[in-house]
Amino acid sequence: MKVGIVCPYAWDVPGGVSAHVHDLAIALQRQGHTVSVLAPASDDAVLPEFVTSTGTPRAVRYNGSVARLSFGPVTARKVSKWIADGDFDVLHVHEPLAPSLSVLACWAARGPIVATWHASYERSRMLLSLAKLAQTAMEKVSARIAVSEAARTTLVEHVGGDAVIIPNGVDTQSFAGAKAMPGWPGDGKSLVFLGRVDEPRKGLAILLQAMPQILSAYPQLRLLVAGPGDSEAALEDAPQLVRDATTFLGLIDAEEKGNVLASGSIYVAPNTGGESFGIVLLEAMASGVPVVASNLEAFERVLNYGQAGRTFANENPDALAQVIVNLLADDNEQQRLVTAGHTRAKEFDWESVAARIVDVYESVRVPGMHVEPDLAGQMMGRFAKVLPFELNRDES
Amino acid sequence: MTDDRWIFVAMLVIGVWYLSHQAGRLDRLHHRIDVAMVSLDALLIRRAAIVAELAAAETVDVLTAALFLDAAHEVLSFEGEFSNARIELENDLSLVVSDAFSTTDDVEAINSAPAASLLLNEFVQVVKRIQLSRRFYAEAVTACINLRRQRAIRLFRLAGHAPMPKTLDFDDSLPFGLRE
Repeated sequence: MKVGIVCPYAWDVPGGVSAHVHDLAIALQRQGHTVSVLAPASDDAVLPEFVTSTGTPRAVRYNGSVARLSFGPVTARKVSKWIADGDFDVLHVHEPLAPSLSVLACWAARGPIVATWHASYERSRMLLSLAKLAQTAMEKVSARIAVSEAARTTLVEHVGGDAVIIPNGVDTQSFAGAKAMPGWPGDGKSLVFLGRVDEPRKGLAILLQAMPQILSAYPQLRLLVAGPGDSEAALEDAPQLVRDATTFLGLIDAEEKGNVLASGSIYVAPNTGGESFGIVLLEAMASGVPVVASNLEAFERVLNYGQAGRTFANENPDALAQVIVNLLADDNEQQRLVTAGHTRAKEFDWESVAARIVDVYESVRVPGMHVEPDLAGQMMGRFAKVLPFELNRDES
Repeated sequence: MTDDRWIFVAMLVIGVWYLSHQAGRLDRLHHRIDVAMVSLDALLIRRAAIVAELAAAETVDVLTAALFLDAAHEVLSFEGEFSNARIELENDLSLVVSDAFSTTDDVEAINSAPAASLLLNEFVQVVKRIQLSRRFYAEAVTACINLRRQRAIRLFRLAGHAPMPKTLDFDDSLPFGLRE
């Protein structure tokens, strides 16, 4: 089968949606399908063979997040050309609510289209009007997938209709061989945090506030922070003690992720909201690291309600410190979490997840029929392309 | 022209644009329903073909094989629109297979031949896809019916002579013995 996948977020900036698309593309290719991915990427980015770039995306602030998106006449032409050249059996767009590459692709194509919903939002008038605007694109989508119950609720509340729930996958194999970086976790033990350091909802601030308490119990403990953003600004309010214990790695490659995770005695996910799934939790479990996470519903589900990882009361640094200090003291519990985490991660392996997505492709495609450029759709697209705004939120 | 006339012309333009927009939406939904129907039909044909092949497996007894072949043949030789007659044939096929695989013991007995085991795996896969396909078809139909209920669309007969689409109701459940 020939599959065209559209990723609306920048390919060269790590994020949940682009990682999902990357792993799905690899898993589909492993199962013998031909895959082409369309995504924005900066001009000097080194891209895999199967990725077609629509050029440098622009940064947009929305809903407290930074999103990097592409939308405009030049981009629309590239999308149309990609669809015409691709000869796809199925077109698979991701996160299609807000104006983005995904909506452009829906407008420009006719045939079997599958859409996956990733993020979850509270019901809002803003999003309802966006959904109204994207209605002509949504009505062309043959099958909808949501990565979580929360993402499905967002879809039902804003667009109507329903979706099949297929969770995110994790490539357990590539994380199984993860090795700690030299010198880590060290005798004094360590904590690992992954994510944008200047994105409040990723919760680094909560962890930094918990650090003094943790350090008083484990003075030699170190904190490893990997992710883009201004590290100085993040540490602004932190005492000297915490600054000394913290190491910033900045932006890391996808290949390094497993090793960075494995460098921690514990992986900490103090996210305060906006998460609809929590793929990093599974990656940490696959890398053999115990997980401590905030008690967001999405995280509770992935951690199987305490079976595969510990949770603490959301946005509560004291609770976080308590859970970490207790867990660091209990080697048996750490070992139990590592084993349970491995088993849990296997259930979300990409091989089984991709097979379920292929079932969806097969349920809407017609053998011998291809996705075609849609001229009527382009008329509508052209009208919308002159709209002077670009909106979205960062993928979670 | 007076101001009133300009307002009238502007309203007319907006009205025509709105109607053409709604007609476009209807057209897209009808197209989606057509594609979904062809896709579902192809999967049902595939299911019948697998059942016909299963009839030839050495671990399937003669009586079951005859029932399989007959039900599959009815579906495969059906011609014409996807009507109630076709739905009955699909139900018949589902019933025959459900009876043959009502327990895990039935399945194990037939699974002992490697060729039959492969076919059974394929059967389970295609039934899962049929369930999804029928669900997506129903979603498209519901969206279309909701749109066609709108007053402007009925008043200006934007749907033309296209018949009102219907959801398809037939038994597409997996036989008990094949459920995990």
